[in-house]
Amino acid sequence: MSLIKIEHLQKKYTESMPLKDINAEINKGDIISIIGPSGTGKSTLLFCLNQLEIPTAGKVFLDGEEITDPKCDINAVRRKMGMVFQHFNLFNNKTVLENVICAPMDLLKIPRAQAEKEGRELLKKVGLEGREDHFPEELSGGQKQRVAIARAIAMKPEILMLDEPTSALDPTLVNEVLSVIRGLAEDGMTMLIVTHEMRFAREVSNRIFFLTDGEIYEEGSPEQIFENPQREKTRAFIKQLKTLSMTVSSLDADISGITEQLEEFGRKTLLSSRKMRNLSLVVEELIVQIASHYRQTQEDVSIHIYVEQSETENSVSLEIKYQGSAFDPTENGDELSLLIIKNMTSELSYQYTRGSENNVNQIHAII
Amino acid sequence: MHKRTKVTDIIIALILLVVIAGIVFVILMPRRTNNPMNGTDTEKTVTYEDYNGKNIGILTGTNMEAESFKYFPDSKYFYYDGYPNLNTALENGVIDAYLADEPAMKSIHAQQPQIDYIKERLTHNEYSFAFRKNDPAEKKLLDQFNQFMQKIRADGTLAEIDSIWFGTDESKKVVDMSDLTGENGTLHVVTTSTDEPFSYIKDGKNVGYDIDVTVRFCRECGYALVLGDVTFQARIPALESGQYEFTTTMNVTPERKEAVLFSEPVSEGGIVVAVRSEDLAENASETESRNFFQKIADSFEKNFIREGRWKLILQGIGATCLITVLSAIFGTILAFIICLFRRSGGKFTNKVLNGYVKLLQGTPTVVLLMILYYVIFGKLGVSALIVAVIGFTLNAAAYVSEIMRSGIESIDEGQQKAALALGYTERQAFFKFIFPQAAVHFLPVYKGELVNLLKSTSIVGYISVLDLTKMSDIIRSRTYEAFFPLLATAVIYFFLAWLITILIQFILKRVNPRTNKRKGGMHA
Repeated sequence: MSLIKIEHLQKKYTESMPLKDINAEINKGDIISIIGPSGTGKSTLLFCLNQLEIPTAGKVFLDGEEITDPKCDINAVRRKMGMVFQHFNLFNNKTVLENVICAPMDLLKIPRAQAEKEGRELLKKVGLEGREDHFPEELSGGQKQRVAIARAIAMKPEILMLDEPTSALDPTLVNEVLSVIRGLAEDGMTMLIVTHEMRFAREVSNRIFFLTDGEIYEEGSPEQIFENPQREKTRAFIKQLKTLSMTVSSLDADISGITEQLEEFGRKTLLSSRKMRNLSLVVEELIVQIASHYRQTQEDVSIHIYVEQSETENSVSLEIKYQGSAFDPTENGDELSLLIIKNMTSELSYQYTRGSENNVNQIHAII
Repeated sequence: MHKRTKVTDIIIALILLVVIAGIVFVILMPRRTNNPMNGTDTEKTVTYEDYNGKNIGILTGTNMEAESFKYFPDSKYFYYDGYPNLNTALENGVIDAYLADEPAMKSIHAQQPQIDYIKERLTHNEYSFAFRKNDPAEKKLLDQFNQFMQKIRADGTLAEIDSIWFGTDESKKVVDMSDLTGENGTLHVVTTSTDEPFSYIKDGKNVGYDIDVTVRFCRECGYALVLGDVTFQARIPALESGQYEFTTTMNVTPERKEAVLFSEPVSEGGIVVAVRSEDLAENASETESRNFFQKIADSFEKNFIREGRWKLILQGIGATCLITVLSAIFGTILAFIICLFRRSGGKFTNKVLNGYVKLLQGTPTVVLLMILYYVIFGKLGVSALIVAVIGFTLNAAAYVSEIMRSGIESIDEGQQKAALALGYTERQAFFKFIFPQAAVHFLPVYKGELVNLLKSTSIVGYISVLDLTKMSDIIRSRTYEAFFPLLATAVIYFFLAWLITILIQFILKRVNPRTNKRKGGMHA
C-alpha cells in the first residue's frame, strides 16, 4: 500500500487557483522531486499535504487514514510528516540542541536524557557537532538549514517534505545542505522535495513530478523527464532550463554580474564544473575585448549573449551578437586572451553582416 | 560592572535634581526687588483699586472669577487650583493679588506672614452647605440639617464653633468622629481639605469649621460619616453624580443656586484682596531676620515634622503604589487576554477590541476616571480607590495590548508554522515559542509604560483618592509653601519609577534566553 495517496486535491484562493486537480501516490522509500515554473503551486502542494494550508477540495491519505477528514487529529498526523522550510524557521529563543529536542520531548514524551543523546547524534550527522549551545542567529544559512533538517527528522517522521531547502541560501552554502539531504536519501528516508536544483534532483530522486497549471503535468523517472520529456510544456521547460540569454551594454558591461548568471545557469543544468569554468572564461574574455573596443570608438553597443546546452550535454554552444562597426575579437586583441579563447573552444567563428538598417557582428563558439 | 553604572546613573540624576532645586530655591529666596507698589505713595492706605490692571490670580471653580472681573476689569488673570499655588505665585511676583474669603485669608496670614490682605471687605458673603436638587430624600435631609442649624444657633453651640476655628487656640482645633454610631445610616460628604479653616487636614485627620459642624450634625441625628476629598471645582459635579449627600460650605451665589440647594447660612464673611505683606504700608517696616539655613531648617520642620506630616506622605505613597501595582497587574492580564482574542477572535470581536483600544488611547485618563467615578459608578457607592484601579487597569490594558501586539507581530510567522508542522497545537506554539520572544521585544517598551502609569496616577486626586500628589497638595495647603513638598514628591516618584525599572530589568534577564541560558550552559 502506498504511504501517501492524494486524490483530486484542489486549492483555491479568491483570485487564483494554484492547485487544480492533483492525483498521486507516494510509496515508502520514494524520493520525489517536484519541479516546475515558479508560481505553479509546488510549495502550496506541500503545505496542503500536512494541512498548514487547508485544501479547498480533495482527499489526502497517510497510511490509509484520511487526514483531510476534519475529525482527524491533525497534530498527531503532522508528527509523522516532517517539514523543512525555505527560510529555515528555527526557533530563535532556543539553542540549536533545544530546537532539535524540544518537539520529541514535548510531543513524543521522550525523556530529556535520551532526547539529548539522540539530538547530539543527529547534529553530528548533519555536521554541527559543537554547535549545540549556539543560538540560531549565530549560524550561517547553511548551518541553520541543517539544524532545521535535524529538527524535522528528530521526530522520526515517515516522510520528510522539503520546500525549496536551498533557494534562500548563498550559492556557496548550497552544497553542504544538499549533501545532508543526499545522506538522508542513502538512509532510505521517504522524501518530497520542491527544488530548482536540477542536477541535484536528477541525481537524488527516483521520481520527478513536473508541476504546472495546478496539476502534475508529467511524471516519470529523472531520465525520462530531463532527457526525453513526453509532453510539450515539459519539453519547453527543460529546454528553457538549458538555455540562457542576456543583454549587456558595451559602455557599462558588468562582468561579475554576467559570471554570476552563468554560474547559476550551470548549477541548474547538468554542466560539469570544468565545462562551466571554461564557458565562463571564454565569455568573460570576449566581452572584455568587445567592451573595451567600443569604449575606444565611443559607440554604445548592446551585446546579446545566448548560451545553450546541447542535446548530448557534453558541450555548450555560445552565440554573441552585437551591432556597430566591424570588430572581430577572435583575431584582433590581446594575445593572451586570444590564446585562452582558442584553447577552450572546439569551434570558433566570426561573421560580419551588412544589413539594410544595421550591421551585425556575430560570434559562434562550441565549448 | 553593568550594575555599578546603573547605580551611578541614579545617583547622578538625584544630585542633578537636588542641585537644580537648590538653585531655584536660592533664586527665589531674595524676594523680588521690583515692588509693583513702589510708584505709589507708601503713606497712603492701599485699596483694591490700586490693583486694577495688575496680574490677578483666580481660584479655579469659585465665584472669585466673576468677582475678579468686576473689581479688576483691566487686569490679566491667572487661574490656580488651591491656595498654595496662588500663594506661591503671589510670593514669586507672577501675580500681584487674588481674591479670597476672609476666614481663609486669616489662616493663610497666620501661617505665611509674608502674605496679608487688605482688611476692607469687598462683599458680604454667606457660606452654606449645599445639597443635591430634585431629590426628595435630599430635601428631607436638608430640612433635618436646617433644623439642626437653628438649634445650635439658638443654644450658642455655633458661637462656640466660631470661637474654636476662627480663634488661635490650636489645642481646641480637633474633631472627634470616633463616637458616630450610624444607626440611621451613613452620610457621604464631599469636601476640599485644602480650605483652612473650614476643611483641612491636621495631624492626619480631617478637621475644620465645616467638618466640626458636619460631625456634630451626624452625632445628633445618628449618622455615620464618610468624607470624600476633591478640588473646589469638582465638588458640585461630585454632588450631582449622587456619590455624596451634601458638600461642605461654599459661597452662596445665584449661579450655584440653580445647581444645588443651599442650607441656611452657617458662617459669614466676605471677599478680601490678598496681597504681599510688603506691599501694604502698614507692614513696610517688617524685615526678615532669619538666615538662609535657618529658613531651610524651619521650612523642613514645618512641612514634614510638624503634625506628623511625613505620615501623610507615607499614606500617599501607599495609595500611589497600590493603584500602580494593582492596575499594572490587572492591566497586563487584561492586555494579554485582549491580545489573545485579537489573534484568534473573529472579525466582530476584533472590531470591538480595536474600538476599545482606540477609544481608550484617545481619551485623557483624567476624563476617563471622572466618567467612571461620577457617571458610571456614581450611585453605586464604589470606593474611589477601586474606581481608580479600574480606570488605570482599563487604560493600561489598551496601551499594553498594543505594545504586546507589536511585539508579537515582530516575531515572524514562520516559527509558528514550523511549530505546527512538528505537531504542536497553536496554543502550545504561541506560549512556547512566539510569546517568550515577543516578551524580549516588548519588555523595554512595557517598562516605560509602567513608569508612565505610575506618573499618571498623580491625577487620582480628581476623584478624591489621597495619593502622593494629593497629600503633598494637602501639606502645601497647610504650610503654604511649595518648595519642600514638591521636591519630596518629585524625588519619591523618581525612586518608585527606578524600582519599576529594576524589577522589569530583572524579569527581562529571566526571559531572555541569551542571558539566561548562557550562564546555565557555562556551569553545566
